[in-house]
Amino acid sequence: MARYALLKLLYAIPTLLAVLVLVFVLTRIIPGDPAQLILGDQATPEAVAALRAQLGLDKSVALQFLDFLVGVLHGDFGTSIVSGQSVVSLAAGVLPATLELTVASLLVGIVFGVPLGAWSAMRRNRLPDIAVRIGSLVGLSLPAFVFGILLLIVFAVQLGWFPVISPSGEVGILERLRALVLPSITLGILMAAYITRVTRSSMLQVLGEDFIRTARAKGVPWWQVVRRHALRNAIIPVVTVVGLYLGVLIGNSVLTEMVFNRPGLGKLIVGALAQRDYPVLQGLMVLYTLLIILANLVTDLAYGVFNPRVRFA
Amino acid sequence: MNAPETLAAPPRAPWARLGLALWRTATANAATAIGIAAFLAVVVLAVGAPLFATHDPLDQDLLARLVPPSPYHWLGTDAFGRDIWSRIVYGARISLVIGLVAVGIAMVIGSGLGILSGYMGGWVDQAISQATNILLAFPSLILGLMVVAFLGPSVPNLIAAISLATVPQFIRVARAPTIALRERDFIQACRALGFSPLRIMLRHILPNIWPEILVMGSLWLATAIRVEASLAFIGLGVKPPTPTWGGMIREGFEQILTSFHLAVFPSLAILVVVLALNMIGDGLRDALDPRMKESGK
Amino acid sequence: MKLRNEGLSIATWGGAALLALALCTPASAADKVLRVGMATGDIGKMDPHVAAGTPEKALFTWVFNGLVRIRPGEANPQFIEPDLAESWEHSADNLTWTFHLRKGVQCHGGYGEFTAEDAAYSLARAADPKRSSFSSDFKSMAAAEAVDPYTLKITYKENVPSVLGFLVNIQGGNMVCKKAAEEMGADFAKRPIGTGPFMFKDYKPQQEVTLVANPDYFRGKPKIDRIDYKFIPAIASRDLAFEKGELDISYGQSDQAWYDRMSKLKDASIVTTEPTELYTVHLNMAHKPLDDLRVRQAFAMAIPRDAIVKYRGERIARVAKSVVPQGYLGYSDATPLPAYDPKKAKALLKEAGYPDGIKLTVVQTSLGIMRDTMEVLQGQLRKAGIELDLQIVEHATFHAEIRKDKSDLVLYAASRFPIADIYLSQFYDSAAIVGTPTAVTNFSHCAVADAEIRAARTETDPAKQLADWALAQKKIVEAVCGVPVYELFDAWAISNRVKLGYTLTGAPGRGVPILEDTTID
Repeated sequence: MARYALLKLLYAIPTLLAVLVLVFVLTRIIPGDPAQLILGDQATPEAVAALRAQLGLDKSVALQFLDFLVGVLHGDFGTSIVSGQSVVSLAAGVLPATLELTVASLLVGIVFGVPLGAWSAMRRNRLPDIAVRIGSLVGLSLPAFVFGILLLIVFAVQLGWFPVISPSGEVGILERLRALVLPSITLGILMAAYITRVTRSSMLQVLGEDFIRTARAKGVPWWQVVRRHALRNAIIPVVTVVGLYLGVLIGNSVLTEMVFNRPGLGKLIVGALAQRDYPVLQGLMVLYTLLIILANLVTDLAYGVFNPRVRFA
Repeated sequence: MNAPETLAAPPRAPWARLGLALWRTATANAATAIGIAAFLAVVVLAVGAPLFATHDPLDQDLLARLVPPSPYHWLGTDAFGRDIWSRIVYGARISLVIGLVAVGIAMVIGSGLGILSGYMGGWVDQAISQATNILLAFPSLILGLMVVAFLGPSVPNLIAAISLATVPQFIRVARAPTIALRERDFIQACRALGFSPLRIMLRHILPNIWPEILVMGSLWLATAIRVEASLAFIGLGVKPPTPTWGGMIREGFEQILTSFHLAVFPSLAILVVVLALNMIGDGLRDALDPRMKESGK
Repeated sequence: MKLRNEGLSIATWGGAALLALALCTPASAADKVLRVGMATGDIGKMDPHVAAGTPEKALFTWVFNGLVRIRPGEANPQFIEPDLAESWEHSADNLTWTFHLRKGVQCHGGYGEFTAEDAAYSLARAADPKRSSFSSDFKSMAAAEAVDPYTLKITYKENVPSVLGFLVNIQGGNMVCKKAAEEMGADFAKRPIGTGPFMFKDYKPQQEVTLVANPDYFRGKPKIDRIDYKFIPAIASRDLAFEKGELDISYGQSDQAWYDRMSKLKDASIVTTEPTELYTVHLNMAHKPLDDLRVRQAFAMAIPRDAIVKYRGERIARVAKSVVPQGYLGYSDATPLPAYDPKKAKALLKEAGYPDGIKLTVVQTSLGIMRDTMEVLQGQLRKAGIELDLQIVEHATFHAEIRKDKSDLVLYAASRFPIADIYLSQFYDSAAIVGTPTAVTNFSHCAVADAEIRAARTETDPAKQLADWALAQKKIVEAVCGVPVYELFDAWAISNRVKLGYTLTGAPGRGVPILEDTTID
């Protein structure tokens, strides 16, 4: 298994390079000039040209890429064009918030999704099943910002249980967790909706298999059947979806981060793109790709844990 | 253990099988029937939009903006004083096309690649997996911006961008169960019988993972329609003043504290379509699942 | 006796405990913290001579001083008063100005006293295109030199319409401390050092900048101990945070619906401030069919300015009356803009050879209010047979494309220093046409009033200067280079707990000034 993991990480190197080249080339092909954006509309063309030269943007793209690669190999990811902050410090500043939100919404998704999906499958085509199915689709159809604002109005403003905007100073762990509740529900509801559906579907499939029927025929109580046999076998597609979303969550949390005013990787990437802040964009994409590769690896390993039939090639 | 029945699947064309299954479930299952009816209703509304709209969807009435629902404006008006009901009816045209086509393309390409990757393993698997990683590394917003930079903003390009962002999901969803299936006895048996890999993948693996893909597909439709809204933020959206559900939600967000109905009605429209397609999807799932036929009863 | 003893000891112990508590948490319980919410995802370079965005400018208002300032709460240069300079005089020809600086002003962070040397350095820096975005404001300046530590002499190459205007505490007029700027280099933009009432303390990406009171501020230590300047891009989140009391001052939304809703809040005032941003449609006269004056006139007549202002909100916007915003020195509405007349617009189009109307391709930013405005215009122009094909692009792309002359028309919103010359020179002088080496923001290729604009720029007779500016506006309006739509105010929600200490009607720096007297309950 360790060898498998190592191999996977080795395979990741060309992926990483490809992503880098793509980001580098594409961001420079799309229109937009960071120097113009920084200096504003009253700046003279001379001033804009001077800033471009100072930022090294007047060099050829190939040369810029080389500079960047050399920097990365020396552990230097450069500094933001827009704010002058180092890319590493920016990334380090938002990474904890992103990981925290990702894990929390993942938990929300699993805690609600798996039992509801299993329950729904057990009570197929009966009231609980229909309620769960419709409920999960409502969660899916409401855009994050509509749902998030709704939560804020009810639980933050009316009831006053949670803060509207996440506290940014040095706050205690409890305060931090309190501020995490609403955003992770907003993001987790999507996750829960998917997990519910996938769990239900794969549970139904497994429940129809011979060994389940055999177990039931032997007189094993149904909840033991579910726990020992059905759920364990139904979990593979769920693991897939969780792994998939682990990656996508990070990038798709932008709107949730905006509504709850949390810092985050997604928001930083979109902001850097809007400002054409190339160094930040490049640095963050490296980090983001690494996170996705890591999430994949964890998913692949999880298959092995849940299903001994999968062998690592 | 299931090998004999699966191998003996009737050799009908897949589409005929699908239609037959749909008919069978619709007559047997009320939920599926409701789903089909609701979806058809939306399609009829979209096609006959000029008949069902009460106003010109583009006509601005600057002095009657943000009007709440009333007998004259059934669902109220938006920030420009345009009739929301009429915009939803007309918006269905583009949103349905974008959602269905984008997800359809992604579903076909994605599950094809996913099965290939899972079944073949080795370097094919590696190549596809790494390509998936590369695609996944770009958040959909960035992917969308890059597509528009190359191709320019238009509905087909929008569909291309959404498909591109959605393909990896289907690759992943198809790949994992394929890996599990590959090791199962009945597939091993097929291989021992000397069936070609293509035949095994199409005839024996696809029918087994089809339910999960279908469920994912109907779920992703909601996401696809919503992605259009978030792409509107960066300029890839459908050109104004053409109404789309995603675009209407985006506009609604600007006024969300003042007039909640602006964002809620198009969201409900998405919900209806997704709900309908899911009911159909679930019905199909039951009908197509080879094991379900005997055990469901 | 015993009882009293015990009572005494409890009191003593209690007192001691209180004292200990007070020592442990130095004044933090009593800290007056002001929380300001701004409409931005993050802040850029905190260098006052570089950053041109509203979020940065608002911050500079608290950190920096100018040689002079506009009286807090006002935006009009007629209220200019001393800031770092106590007094000033100028030569008869207006070309030599002498400023007498206040003594004992301290730079933040122990960078020493602010002297004429710092002022001279600061002006040279602001005039240097390599270090400043505002160098064009100082292109007539010959030199700035320190005569002695408290006397600054500025000489000009030619007459400047408003010397003091460029020295107020916005943009290039912000005074930086030489030693700090030189020692810190690029880091200066991360930890700005000024002389103002508040000092930079901390920055958290995408979250906030924290400022603390400058105890040595020359007007006295501010009553507010700390400002938490929070970046909250979503208006709904800002509003909810304000409503719940998590913000004391919040940047609003320029929309009547917002104004009405927020006005209902108890314990809060909704304030709109100048300078306004003038929204103008610049018609590209180099593109067909807009090269035809009749087509441009038809375009102008198809826009119902009054109705659009009603739509945007009468407390938020006002009808534009000239190609220069109202209140600017030299503004003239003597030549009225074409009145709304869609029938006549159609007739003019027909006369110009377009009986079926025209179709224009427009590169348009996806950014909120600009896009809204364009959609309203699109809906209204449609009624007069003018179709707009909107190519919605993301904001950075928009800025690149419009400078490449790709759009038939450009909707642009701008506020400038309130002198007619700046607006006219940047938008309507042919030297500023986009795509040229001296390009600024002339998107219309307007060249009808060059002579008047340039003559007024160096004219020494104020009456003659005003006449030139009025004539320039007349020519531009008649040629329909641009169609002004409305002027938009900034809107703020301010909690009644905040006592600003002045009446807020204008904020030249786009941020609410927080003074030494400003306090919060």
